[in-house]
Amino acid sequence: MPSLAAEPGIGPRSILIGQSAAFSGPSGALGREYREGAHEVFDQVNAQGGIHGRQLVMVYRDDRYEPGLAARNTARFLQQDKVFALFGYVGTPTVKAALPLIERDQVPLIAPLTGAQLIRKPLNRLIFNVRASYHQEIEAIIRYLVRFGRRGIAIAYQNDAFGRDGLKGALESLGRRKLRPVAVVPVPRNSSRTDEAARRVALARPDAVLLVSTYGTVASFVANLRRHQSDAQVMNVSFVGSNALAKALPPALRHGIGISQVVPFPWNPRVTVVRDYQNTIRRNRSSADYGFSSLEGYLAARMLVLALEKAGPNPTRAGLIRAMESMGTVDLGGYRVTFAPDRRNGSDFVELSFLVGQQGTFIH
Amino acid sequence: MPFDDLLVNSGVLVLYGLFVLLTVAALILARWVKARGNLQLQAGLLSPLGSLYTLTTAFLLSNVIFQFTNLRTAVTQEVVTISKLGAVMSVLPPEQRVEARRLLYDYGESIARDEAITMRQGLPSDTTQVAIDRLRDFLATSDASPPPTLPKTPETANYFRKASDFGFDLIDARERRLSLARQTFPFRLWLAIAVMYFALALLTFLVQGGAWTTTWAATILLLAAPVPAVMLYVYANPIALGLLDITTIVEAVMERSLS
Repeated sequence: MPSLAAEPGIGPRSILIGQSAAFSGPSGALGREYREGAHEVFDQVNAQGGIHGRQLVMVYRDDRYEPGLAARNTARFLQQDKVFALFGYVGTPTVKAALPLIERDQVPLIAPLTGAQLIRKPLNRLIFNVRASYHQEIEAIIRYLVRFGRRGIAIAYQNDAFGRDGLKGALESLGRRKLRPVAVVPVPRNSSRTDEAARRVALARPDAVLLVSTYGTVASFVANLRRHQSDAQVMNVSFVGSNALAKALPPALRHGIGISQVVPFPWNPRVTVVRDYQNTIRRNRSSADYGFSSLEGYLAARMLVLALEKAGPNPTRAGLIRAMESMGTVDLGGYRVTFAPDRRNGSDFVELSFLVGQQGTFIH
Repeated sequence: MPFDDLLVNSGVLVLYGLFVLLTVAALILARWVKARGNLQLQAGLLSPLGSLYTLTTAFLLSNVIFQFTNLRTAVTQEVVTISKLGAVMSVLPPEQRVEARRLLYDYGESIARDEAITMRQGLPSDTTQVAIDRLRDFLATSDASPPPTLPKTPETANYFRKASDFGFDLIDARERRLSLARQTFPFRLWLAIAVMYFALALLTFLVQGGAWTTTWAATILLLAAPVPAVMLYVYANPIALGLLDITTIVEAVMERSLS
């Protein structure tokens, strides 16, 4: 029996973890899918007796991808719920808003669903990113586009910390190839008012458009872009929410939309960790609904569980950070994550995928 | 071409309309002949004429069904080739593989969405032509080759041997599909069928005694005799008339094999 620790969020039989994410609103699918994937792991771990005898208890709060709500939720996690650690925050502006509180209370944030540089450079020792960064994703996108002859690239970015981070990465990536974007236009967050932005992009007659936004806005942008007679190749970063985007787009507009991914292809059971993920989902649910965000949640949760196990029977926040830092390279089964005292970017995995046909199938 | 469109969209109705007209014409002619004098024709004459009509239409029908079977085989071979090409491409590094598969899927999608429509008129689609040209262009570049550092495995060896073959097989399969998509059924053959039907209908009415019997003979004739002609028409235009759903076949294979 573990001893009762004075550490916040650690009870005799429970470990309290807080997750603030968009579970509703125009970007709600991102948080829901991520939570579903992570939940599969937590359920399994709890069913097998928990971590050192303690059950993992998740406290979820919906921030609807709004920074103000994310900050308020974090304050509640830390003052009211007194969670042990934070996990799976969804979005750059939301993490940015929560950051002062995270630093004030020195609480670790594990596997936020954002690839922003904001939490990577300079290194923040409280934050452990499992996924690759947006800059790495955008580099893969630009490399692909340029390699296959699409040099006229326009950028439409969400007008917030996330979008600006993507824009910066895109400009750097293009600059390395001595290229400049043919158009740069902002689009609003959580909004489908994209007609003017799409019109401006279409006027520039790009070969490709890099979109740095979420599925609702992107679906609206693509519809407007096609209405303005542009057949430019549309590319997105993983945060767009791949499955949600496939559902949000009208069937006739789905074909050919590109998305960079930071996790292996969720329908490919030849990758060991994907097979485990599929088996877990099939065991727990009657309908197997795989997806990129859900797999990302699954991988993040596996890492959190590994770290908590490594932190020992009397975990402390500082102990959890040390456990993560000392992990070295962990192979989850075809998906490698490396953490070290000077490394907070766990994985460099980036792969491109495309929506094909009208059914919303992915190829990779 | 509005007449072609009319035929494709309402061909079966047009055919039935023509047969009704022929039946009415035969009925009027039979009445006119009967009104002019006592004509004694044996009912037994119907049998050889009916057999001749049946044999002729059956022979033509067997021909179009044979061609339809060939078309179905060609479509199957084409989607199997697409699937095989998609499979062998899996040895390419991720960036090249995704581009190769995207181009391949573009081609499949253009068949399902564009050429399936133009094929109703027996025509190729420009979009599909562009898609296959892009795919061939890709296969002709070094981007379609695995890097020399890739370990030699049965799959990588197979790729070098097969990718080019499958590329050419695609062109071949497309040509076969297009050439079989709409069968040319000469007007003279339709005319021959119409003349034979008219003769059959006229004889049927001439050998009938009373009005009530004639009415029933006309009804039965109209119900049964046009059927072989309608089948001829349907099998000669299998895509336009939904006998072969290219869109569903191609999309199903794509979804199964490429994801």
